[in-house]
Amino acid sequence: MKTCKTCGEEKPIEEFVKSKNTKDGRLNKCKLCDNLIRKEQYYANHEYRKQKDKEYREKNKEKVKLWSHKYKEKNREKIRIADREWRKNNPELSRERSRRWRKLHGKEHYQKNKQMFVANVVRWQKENKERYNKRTREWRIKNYAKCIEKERLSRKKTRLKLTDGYVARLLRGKGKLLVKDVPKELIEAKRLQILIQREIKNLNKGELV
Amino acid sequence: MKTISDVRDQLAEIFEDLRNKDIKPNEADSLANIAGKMIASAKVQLDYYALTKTKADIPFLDNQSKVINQTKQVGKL
Repeated sequence: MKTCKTCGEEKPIEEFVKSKNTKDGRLNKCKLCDNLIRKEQYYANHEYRKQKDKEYREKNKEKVKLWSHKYKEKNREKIRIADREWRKNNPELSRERSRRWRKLHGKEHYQKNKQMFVANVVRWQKENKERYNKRTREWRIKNYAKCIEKERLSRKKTRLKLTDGYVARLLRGKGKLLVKDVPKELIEAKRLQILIQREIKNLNKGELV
Repeated sequence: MKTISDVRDQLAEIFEDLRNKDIKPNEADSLANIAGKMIASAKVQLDYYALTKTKADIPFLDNQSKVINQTKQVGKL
């Protein structure tokens, strides 16, 4: 048993702060008092310490980065749980933060991980087929004009580009032939024929003008 | 022009000539028209095979004939 010099209470030796410089290996103040004193000191110099920390971080950016990286690696699960908890407790702030982040880095992030995003969307669509179909149906009803315009533009694009599918459909006409059964070389020949006809049309237009 | 590849090559040439103005548009038009007829006849043959549900064996579509020849050779071996 030992008496604390700060609060004057008698406590078991394990409740005192460890020290290498004393005979019994413990300081004269108990852990509770030590904690209180440290807290008081911390809050008394709070602004000063904050400023100092900031300065240090700015001076030793690489070092701090390395430390934080190491810490994150070590405590990944802990951080994840804490983050989730924080998001749960501060939904508004969390949403605002992610909105701000998306505004700053969203496009860049999407371009970097485009494949992953697309794969995720496709996977979701496959897993939630009914929900996806329902959603698209609803969207189509709501945005009917937009839909028609989109389809018209896409048709125009395929017509201009002379895609394989478009040429194959042209070849097929009303026949029972499947588009996939039309040979590639036949498609290529037809495409060239159309291109020639278009070129002639353009030339004739030029002459008329 | 015995195969579809020949037709395609010929059409490519005509297209290039037309762009370089080495050929008259009327001539190019008639040639493209003939090629169109050939393509259409090949398509009719394909339609026939699709309707009868038999394997297409059209020498004009050389790619297919090649494949068939190859399979025949493999069968012989």
